[in-house]
Amino acid sequence: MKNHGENQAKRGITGEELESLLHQVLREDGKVFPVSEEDIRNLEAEIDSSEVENIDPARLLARIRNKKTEKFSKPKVVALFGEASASVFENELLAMAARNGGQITDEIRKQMEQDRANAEKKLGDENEQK
Amino acid sequence: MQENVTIAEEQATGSADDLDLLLRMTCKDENREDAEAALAVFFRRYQTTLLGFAKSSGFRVLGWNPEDFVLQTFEKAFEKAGTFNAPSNLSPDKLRLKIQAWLFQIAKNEFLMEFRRPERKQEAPTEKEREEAEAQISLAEKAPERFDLQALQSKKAAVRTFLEALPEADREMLVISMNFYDFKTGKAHIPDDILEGLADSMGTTPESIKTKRARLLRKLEEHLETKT
Repeated sequence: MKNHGENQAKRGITGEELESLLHQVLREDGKVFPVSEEDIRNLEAEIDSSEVENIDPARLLARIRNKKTEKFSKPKVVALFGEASASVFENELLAMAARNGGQITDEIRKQMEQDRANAEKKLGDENEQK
Repeated sequence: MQENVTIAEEQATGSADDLDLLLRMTCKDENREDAEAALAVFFRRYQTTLLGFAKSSGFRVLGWNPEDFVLQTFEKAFEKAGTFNAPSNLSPDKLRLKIQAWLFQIAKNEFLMEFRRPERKQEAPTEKEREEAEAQISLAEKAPERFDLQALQSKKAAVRTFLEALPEADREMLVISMNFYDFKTGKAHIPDDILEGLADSMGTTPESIKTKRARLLRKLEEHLETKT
């Protein structure tokens, strides 16, 4: 037992003690996620609130509202012909957001062009008949 | 949405107590505008500590934006407002600490989720994980100490000088790894799937993180032997 104690003293610090010590220091200095209420007090004391530039709550509300829009809104339909509303551009942005910012694939683009050509041909035919 | 209405409601909400704000946030499906006004006030009251923490805890090495991290945490807090639980007779100071602890719990969960494999990202913590997290809190309150106060203070000072002298990337890697400290085993344990995600974020491999971390701990041990 004595030898063990002497070895321990000689070795200085065990692996567990080393990590425990490091963790304690990091908690006291507010560098790792706080675990206890004491840690939170330490963290509050460490932070100089005058140096922290707070975030405008409007940014948080915008994030939450965008999420809600994406989740609950119905797909928007923009008329190909007739009067284009002032919100066409906005609808384009919403459509892009609904695609998670992705681009329209070649296959879909081809189908859209085909539909547009058909609709224009139909409109042209109708005008000719008039 | 009608920004003006929200601002007016937010002004009327400014003096509300924290529990009232949380309660109104839980009623978001019945009164969305009121819930958002409550969130805005709650966010103003509580963002500073989390933001200060996010800016100083090595998230840069992961390529994270501290502000996005804070926004994501409060977004989650808005969703989970109903899960906050506290005895009704707490003093305002105790309640504030309890709310901060709840927010940091959400933040830590978001932190872990970032590194999880995509198929595990949406998983809520299991009952076992929640129990283990609570057990960690009680263990943290009574950390065992072999050293007397003076020796302990001297060792802590040596740890600080060691950390300050480390290159930033090494220091931040070591600090981030210590978020996985387990009070039961007395060592940091990073689950394999999270270690992989962490390595990806740092542009390295899990093995390299393990090796580097072990080397840094050996250096710290040597530093303590010579300085204390």
